[in-house]
Amino acid sequence: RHTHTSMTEADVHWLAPCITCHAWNKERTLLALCPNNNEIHIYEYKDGKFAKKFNLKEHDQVVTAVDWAGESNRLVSCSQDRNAYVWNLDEQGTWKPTLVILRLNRAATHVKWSPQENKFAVASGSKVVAVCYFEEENNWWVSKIIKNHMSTVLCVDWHPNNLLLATGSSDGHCRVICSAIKGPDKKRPTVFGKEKAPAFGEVVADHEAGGWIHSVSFSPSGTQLAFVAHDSTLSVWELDPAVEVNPNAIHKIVMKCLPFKQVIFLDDTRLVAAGWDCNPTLYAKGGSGWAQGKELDDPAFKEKKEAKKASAFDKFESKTSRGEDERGTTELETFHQNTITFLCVITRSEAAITEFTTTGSDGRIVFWRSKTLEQAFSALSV
Amino acid sequence: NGGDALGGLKAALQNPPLGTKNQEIKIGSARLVAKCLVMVKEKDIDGVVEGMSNDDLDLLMKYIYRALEIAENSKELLKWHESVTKKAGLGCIVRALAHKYTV
Repeated sequence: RHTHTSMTEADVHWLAPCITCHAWNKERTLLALCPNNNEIHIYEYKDGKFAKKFNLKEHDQVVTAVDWAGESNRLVSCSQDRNAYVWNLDEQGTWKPTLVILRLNRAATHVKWSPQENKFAVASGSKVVAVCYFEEENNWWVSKIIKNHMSTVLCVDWHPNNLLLATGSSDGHCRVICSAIKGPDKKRPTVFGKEKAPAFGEVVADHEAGGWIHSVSFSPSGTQLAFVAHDSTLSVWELDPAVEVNPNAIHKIVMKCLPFKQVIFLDDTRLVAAGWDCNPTLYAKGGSGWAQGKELDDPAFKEKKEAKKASAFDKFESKTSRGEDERGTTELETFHQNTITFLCVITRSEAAITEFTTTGSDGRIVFWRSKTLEQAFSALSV
Repeated sequence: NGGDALGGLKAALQNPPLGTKNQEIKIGSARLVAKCLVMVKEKDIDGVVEGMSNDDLDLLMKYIYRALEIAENSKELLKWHESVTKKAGLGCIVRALAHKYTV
């Protein structure tokens, strides 16, 4: 049993009533997030503290996702207002938005820059994905539409080769789709043992899961695809573009807890998922496949909260303001008090991602640092 | 048929009508499972649940919800619900609600 903790209250910050999404810049000194409205707030993170620096107001409705292109230092945001904006920092230090005409007639749900940052993909409620690239001659962003979905596309993730895109949809399908565009991409990928390179928008792999797919993630080597579905399952598909698709090479973990909303590979043998249980859970791959998860937010690893000696005033206050009495409290034991909605990488070494942050519907951002991860991984029996 | 409630339950859970749209078949199947569930003595429920696989428990949870819809023994069914949830967790309930092909 661990008697000291590597996680402190300093790793938890309460920035808004509710956070829908967040993204870090390359140096991890700036954080962009949406406080569940039509604005994007940019905070400076210095000496362990957050200070709000910018308020980006262009969208008309809730911003559903932001992604920060680290190398080119550009932000992309998408919203329920069916639009996406690319934000560039000008010489005066202001963030200038460029509207991208997506041609969507429903909300945008998710957006991700491609690994080379020359394209981005926007998932949408109009059952399509808009893949956008910059056309130099006309000085604007052009969108190419991928159909092939039977319902809202909830999430996207790029393959490291910049040419394939994984999507998750509320039609229960996880798909891998060719997203090579003439212009930004030098060639079309010959993948999965097919003779002919697939066309833009062609589905090269397809799997139906038991519920809405909330999140998809390729492993760093691009040989595995993880996805989480609303039927409380986490699946990892051995999917190497160098060989044919094996529809049976899917390792499915059936969970006892509430569904996950986000999943990310930390390296090729480890991943982390988080969602409605407000608790990031680690999974590691061993000889016999993927092991049952270990929750990161383990009360055993935490400093014992000093027994709150409720003063008479506190008792009275909680009774009147929240109708609570000392018998019951709605406070969760985890750092997050509500669903974790977004997971973002902070530190990525040569070998693996060693730190990440989560934001949730409780408006908190929590740092999960390497010491915490190491503790949890060593507790995982693989 | 006689005393073998557990055997009857196991038999009733075989070949669930997941894919069909035929409501008569589904309702008949659910009534049969509900009957078997009710025949198990309350003190034996935990033991029966303990011996069931996770896949069986997922299926059983789907039947519990279906039976709650159409049968009248809610007291017994809720006891089963409690027992299955204790073993299989909230994920089991989520699967009963989320799955497209159900009983």
